[in-house]
Amino acid sequence: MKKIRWSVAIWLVSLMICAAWIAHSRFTADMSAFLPKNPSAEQTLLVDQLTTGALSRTLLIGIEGDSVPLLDFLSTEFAGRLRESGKFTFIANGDSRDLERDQALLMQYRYLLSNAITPEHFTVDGLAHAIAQNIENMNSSFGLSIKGLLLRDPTGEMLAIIDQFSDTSRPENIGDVWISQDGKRALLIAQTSASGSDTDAQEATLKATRKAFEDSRQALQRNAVSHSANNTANNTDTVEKAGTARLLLSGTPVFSVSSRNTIRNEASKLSLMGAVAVVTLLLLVFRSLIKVLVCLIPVVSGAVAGIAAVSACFGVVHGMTLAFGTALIGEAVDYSIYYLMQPRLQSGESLWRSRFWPTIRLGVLTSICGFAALVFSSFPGLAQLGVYSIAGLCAAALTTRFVLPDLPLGNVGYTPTPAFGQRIARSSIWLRKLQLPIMLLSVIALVYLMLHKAPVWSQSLSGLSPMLAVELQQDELLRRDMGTPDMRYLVAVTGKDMESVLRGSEAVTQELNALQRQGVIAGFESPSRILPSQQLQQMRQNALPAASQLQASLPRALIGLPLQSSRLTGFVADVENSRHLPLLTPAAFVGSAMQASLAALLAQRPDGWVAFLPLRITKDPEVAKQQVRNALQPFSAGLTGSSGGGQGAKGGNGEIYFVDMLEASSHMYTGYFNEALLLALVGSLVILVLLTLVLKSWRTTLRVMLPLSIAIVWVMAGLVLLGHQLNLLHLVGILLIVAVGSNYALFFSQNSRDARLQSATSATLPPVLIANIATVLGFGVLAFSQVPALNAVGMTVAPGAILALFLSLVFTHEATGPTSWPAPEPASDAMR
Amino acid sequence: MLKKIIFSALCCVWVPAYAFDIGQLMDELGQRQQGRARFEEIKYIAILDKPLHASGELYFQAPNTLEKRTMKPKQEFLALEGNRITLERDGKKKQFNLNRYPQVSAFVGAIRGLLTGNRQEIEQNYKTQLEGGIEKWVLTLTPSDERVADVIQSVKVIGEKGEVRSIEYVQRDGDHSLMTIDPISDQ
Repeated sequence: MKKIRWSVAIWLVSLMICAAWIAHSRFTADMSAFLPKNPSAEQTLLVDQLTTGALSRTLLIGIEGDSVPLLDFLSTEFAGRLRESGKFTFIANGDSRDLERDQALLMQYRYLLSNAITPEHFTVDGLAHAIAQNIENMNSSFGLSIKGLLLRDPTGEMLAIIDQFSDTSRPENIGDVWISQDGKRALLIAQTSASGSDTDAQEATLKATRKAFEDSRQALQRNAVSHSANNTANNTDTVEKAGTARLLLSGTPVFSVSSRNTIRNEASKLSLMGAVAVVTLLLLVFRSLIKVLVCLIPVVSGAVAGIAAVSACFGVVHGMTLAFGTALIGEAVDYSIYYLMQPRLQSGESLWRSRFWPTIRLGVLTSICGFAALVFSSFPGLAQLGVYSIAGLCAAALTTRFVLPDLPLGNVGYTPTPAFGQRIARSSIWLRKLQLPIMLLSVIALVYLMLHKAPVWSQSLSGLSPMLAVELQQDELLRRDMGTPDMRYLVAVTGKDMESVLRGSEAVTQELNALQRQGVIAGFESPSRILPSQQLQQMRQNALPAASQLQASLPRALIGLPLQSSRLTGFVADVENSRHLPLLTPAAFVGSAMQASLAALLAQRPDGWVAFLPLRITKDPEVAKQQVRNALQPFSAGLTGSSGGGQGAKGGNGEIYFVDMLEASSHMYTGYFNEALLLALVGSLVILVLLTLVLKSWRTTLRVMLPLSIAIVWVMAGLVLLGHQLNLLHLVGILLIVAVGSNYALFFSQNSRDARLQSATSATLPPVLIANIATVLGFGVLAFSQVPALNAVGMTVAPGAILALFLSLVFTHEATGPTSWPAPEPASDAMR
Repeated sequence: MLKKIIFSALCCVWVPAYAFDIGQLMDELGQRQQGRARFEEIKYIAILDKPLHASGELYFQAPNTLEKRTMKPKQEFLALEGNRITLERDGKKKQFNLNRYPQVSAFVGAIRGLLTGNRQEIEQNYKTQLEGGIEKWVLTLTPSDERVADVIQSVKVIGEKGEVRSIEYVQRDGDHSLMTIDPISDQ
C-alpha cells in the first residue's frame, strides 16, 4: 500500500507543479515560431521588419463606399476619431489641411531640404539660370499653381522638393482625402502605438479601430437625418449609402492578430473534435465511463507535462505547438489502451508487465529519438514541437506504467479466444500473399517520386504561414491603391548612430539615382531625401549667402529677366533666416505625412540605427540585382558577399546590404528544411541503431523498418499525386509516422515470440487496432484545419498510421501462426 | 401707330435674344465632333515686367478628349481624357486626376467643354451669361466652386457661330491671360 501511495503522490505533485507553471506561462501566436534563433544580418532585417519595425505597426485602412462625398466625410470623421483614441502615433488620410501644414513645413526648411542647394546655386549665373527656369515654368499649363511662390521662392526650391518627395508615391486626392484610382475606396495609413510583437495590444487597437468606424458611420447617418428637412431625397440616399460603407483593414498587425486567433480557434476546435472522437471510440470499446476516464489520465498528464516543459525551455508557448499537441492525444492514448486491453492468458496471467510494457518502452524510446532530432532545430517552431512531444510522451508512458496499475481498477484486460486466433492465422496466410504486389507498388511509387518533374519539396515559407488567402488579396488591393512599396528589394544601411546611417543613405541614394537614370531600377525611396544628414544640412546652410551678398548678386542675375530685384525682399529674408535655422531632426516631422514615411525608412535598433531604401526593379530582376550589387561595390572595403540573399559591404562605420527579402526568406526556409532533413535522417539512424541493439537482430530490425519505409513512400507519392507540394511540416509528419508506426511493428514482431500465446497477432491486434484508430482520429482532425501547417501534419500522419499498421501486419506476421513459434529469448527479459 | 412701332422695335430687340440662348450655342459648338486649332496664349502677370507668350496646337474630340500641345517657348504636351490629365514636360511624364486640381480643372475643363459643346461640363463648373447673337457672341463664365472662385474671377469667351475665337481668364488678383484660337480646317 505504501508503494501505491508514493507513485500516485509523486504523480499528483508533479501534475500540480506543471499546472502552476503553465498558469504563469506566456502564450503567443505571432510569427516568432517561423523566425530563426540565430539570424544572419539580412535575416535580422527580415525579422525586425516582421516583429518590431515600422512595418509591423503599420495599418493600411480602406473605406469602401458608393460616392466620393460619402468617402470624404467618412474618412475625415474616422481619422478624427482614430486620433482621439490615442492608440496611434500617426494617422494620415491625405486631408488637404494636413497637406497645407506639411507644405508650410517644407517651405520653411526648403533651403536645407533641396538637393539643388550648393554654393554655385547662389552665384550670379546660378541664380539667373534657376530664376529663368522658374519663370518658364510659370508659362506652363500648371503655371498658375506656382505663381504665388515666385517672389519668395524664385529659384523654385519647393518644386524641386516636391519632385524629390514624389517618389514616395501616395494615392491622389479626389475631393478632400486620399481616394483610390477607381474612386471606390478612401485610404488611410496609420501607425499603432502598440509594439508589433504585442499581439494583445494590437488586437485592442484593431477593436478600437472598428468601433471608431462604426461610430463615424452612425455620426454620418445622424448628421444626414438632422439635415433631412432641407434636402430629403439626397440625405436618405446618403444614409443608405453610409449603411453599405465597409471597412477594410490590412497590414502586419491585422495578420498577426488574425493568425493568432485562427490558431487559437483551431487549437480549441481541433482538440475538442479530437477529444470527442477519441472518447467516443473509447466508450464504444470499453463501455465504461470509469475506464474511459482512466484512459485519459496519461493523455492529460502528457499534455500538461508537455506544455510545462515547453514553457520552461522557451519561456513562451506558441499556439501552433498547442494545436499540434492535440494530435498527440492520439498517440498518448495508445499507452492507456494497451494497458486497459492487455491480453491475458487462459490462466488469467497478464502479459502487460512481461510483454506489453517492454514493447511500449521501446516504442517510447524510438519516438523520443525521432522527436529529439527536432529539439536541435534552429527553427523555434520545430524545437517546441520536439520538446512538447518528448515531455508529453514520457509523462504519458510513465503515468501508464506507474500510476495506472496502482489505481483501484480491479481486473483489466481481455482474453483472446482460440477461434479469434484461428481466424487471424488464416488471414495471415492471405496477407502474406500481398507482400510481393506491395513491394512492386512501392517500387513504382518510389520511381514516380524520383521522376516527378516539379520539385516534390516546396522551397518557400508560404506553406507555413497561417495567413488566409482572402487576407492576402485584400492586402494586395490596399497596397496597390496606396502605392506602398512591397519592400521586397531593399538596400539597408546600418550604423552606430542616426547621422552615420543617413550619410550612408545619401551615398547610396547617389548610386541609385544613377541606376534609375540608366533604367535599371524604376524608382526608390530614401530616408535621406526626407531627412538629410546633419552634415549635408550644414553644408547647405553654409552655401547660403548673407542677405547683403544676395542683394548684391540679384540685380545682375535678373538682367534680361522680366523680374525686378526689388520685389524679391521676401526671398532674401527667407535665405537669411535659413542660415540660422536649427537643423532638421525627426522631431520636426512629428504629425506630418513625412513622419510615417520616415519611420518606415529609418529605425533605431538595440545595436544602432538602420536605414532602408526600398527599390522597384524594372526589367530582368537577376540582371538588375547584379547591377545594384555592382553599384554598391565601392562601399565594400574588401568584405566579400555574405551568404543568403544579401550582399554585405562595409561602408564607413556601418554596413550596407542589398537584400532581396523573398530570397532571404526562402534561404532561411531552405536552411531550416535542410537542417530538419538532416536531423530527421540522424533521428532515423539513431532509431535504427537503438532497435538493432535492443532486438539484437538485423533481420528483426529490418522487418520493423520495412513497413514504415513503405508507408512513408506511399504517403509521399499519394500527396504528390494529389497535387500537394511537400513542406517542412510534411517532413515532421513523416517523422511522426516513424514514431507511431514503429510501435505497431514492434508489437507484432516482439509479441509473436511468446510461446504461451495461442496466436501472438490475435493477442496484440485488438489493442493495436484500437490504438491505431485513436491515433488516426487524433491526427485526422488536423487534416480539416485551415492552418496549412496543421493541415499538412494531419494529411501525412493519418493515412501514414493506417498504412503503417496494415503493412506491419503484412510484413511482420511471418513468425506467427501456430506452426512456428520460437521460444522466448532471454534478451526480452532484460527489457522488463 | 406708336404702339405698333414700339412693339416692332421691341420685337427687333427681343427676338434674337430669345432665338439665341446657351442651349443653342452649345448645339452649335457641338456640331463638330473633333477638330484642330492653333492657339496663342498671352499671360499678363503683375509681378513680371513683360507678359509671357506661348503658342501651339489644340486637338479635341467629343465627348471628353482634349490635347494641348505647346510648341513655344518650350515643348509641353497636356492631354485631358475623362478625368485624367497627362502632362509631359522636361522629358518627364506625370499623371493627375482632374478633381485634384480644381483650378486646372476649371481652366482646361472650360476649353474642352467649349470646343466640344458639352453644356453639362460648362454648367457644372460655371454660371453662364450669354450676350450677342449667333454671328458674334460673348459668353461670360463665373466659377461656382469656391476654390476656383478664389483664383479665377471670370472667363470671357468670344466666338463666331460655332467657333470659339478667344478665351480670356481674369484672375482674382487682376492678372489675366488671353488665349486666341484659330481653327485649322481638315480639308
